[in-house]
Amino acid sequence: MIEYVGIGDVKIAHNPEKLAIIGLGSCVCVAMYDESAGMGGVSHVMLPEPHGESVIEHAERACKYATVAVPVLMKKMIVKGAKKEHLKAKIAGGASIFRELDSLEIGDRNVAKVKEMLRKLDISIVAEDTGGNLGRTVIFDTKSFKLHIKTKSYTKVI
Amino acid sequence: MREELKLSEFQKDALQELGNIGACHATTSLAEMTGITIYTHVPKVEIIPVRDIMCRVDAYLIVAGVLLELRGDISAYLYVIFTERSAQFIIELLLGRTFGDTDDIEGDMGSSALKEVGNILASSFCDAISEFLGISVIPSPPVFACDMTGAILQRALIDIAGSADHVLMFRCDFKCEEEKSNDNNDKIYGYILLFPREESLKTLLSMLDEKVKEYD
Repeated sequence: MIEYVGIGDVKIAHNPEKLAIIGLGSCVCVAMYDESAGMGGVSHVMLPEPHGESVIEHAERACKYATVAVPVLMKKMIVKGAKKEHLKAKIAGGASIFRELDSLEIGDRNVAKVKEMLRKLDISIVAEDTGGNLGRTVIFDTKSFKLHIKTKSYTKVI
Repeated sequence: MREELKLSEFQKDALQELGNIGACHATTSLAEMTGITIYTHVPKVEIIPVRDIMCRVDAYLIVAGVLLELRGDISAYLYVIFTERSAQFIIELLLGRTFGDTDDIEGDMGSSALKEVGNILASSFCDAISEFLGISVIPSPPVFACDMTGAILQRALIDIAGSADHVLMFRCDFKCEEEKSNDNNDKIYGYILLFPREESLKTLLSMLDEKVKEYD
């Protein structure tokens, strides 16, 4: 079974379910897993952090921001039975699709913020496929804990 | 707590009509450029939760997309999207290349040609709605990418959906004249997408309200 993870969604799945994000551009897919618990989760991050307004009271809705999504993903994993010290992460995305427009460098900033948050939470990143100029479709398999990545010019399993 | 974005049936119709005026002008210029009759579908106006957007478009499909930012009295993102096949066809038509040559979409010539087509369509779209509403809308220079629809659309979303939970998506599909005997019906297939910023949507709606009062 494949479940789709929309922008700002955080979803948890158990072996052998799969979680997918289709057409990932500058957004980042954060996949977190606990092998011994046989479960994994994916968060679809759109922006590094909220600017100005307070969104914390709507934490669930604020999961499009890396600063909110990464801790929420971890908490959800733990609530569903994962052990904090077993958690590992794999990330993909953060591309710059319109090369001429990348003054915002939002893809890079997303990746940097996700990494910063994971570091703060002491969760190691075991694999990544980030940056570049290509859109990605990613499927996270909670059986093998592999992230299957497909772009228009390559496919990769990390 | 922010207000939820909602449209009455009337407002939806008015926006649809406005988009229709823009889209018809845009496709007329495409028809003039290519010498092919272009049909426009009835436009759709939808308010979509940000997390569901990728389910409402064929996010995985690789398309040729031209993106322009609209500034002036309203602020929005406008996309002109072509299927890979029709992008190929348009390039061949405009550059006089041999049909069936397939590496051209991302080449310099191909992408410049498509950018220009997108620019012309977008300018006609803007001119039409500016004239109708008596406002000024200026499109930015076009940028181009050929990639998955989802990845292409994210560029507008990071900007307009940063603080909003819902976005308004206007979509108008267009295609070339039906031909009876062959499989050329999708020679030209594309669509125009418009994502206004939340505050511009309010401006648009109040301008449309004014417009209706003029006719009362």
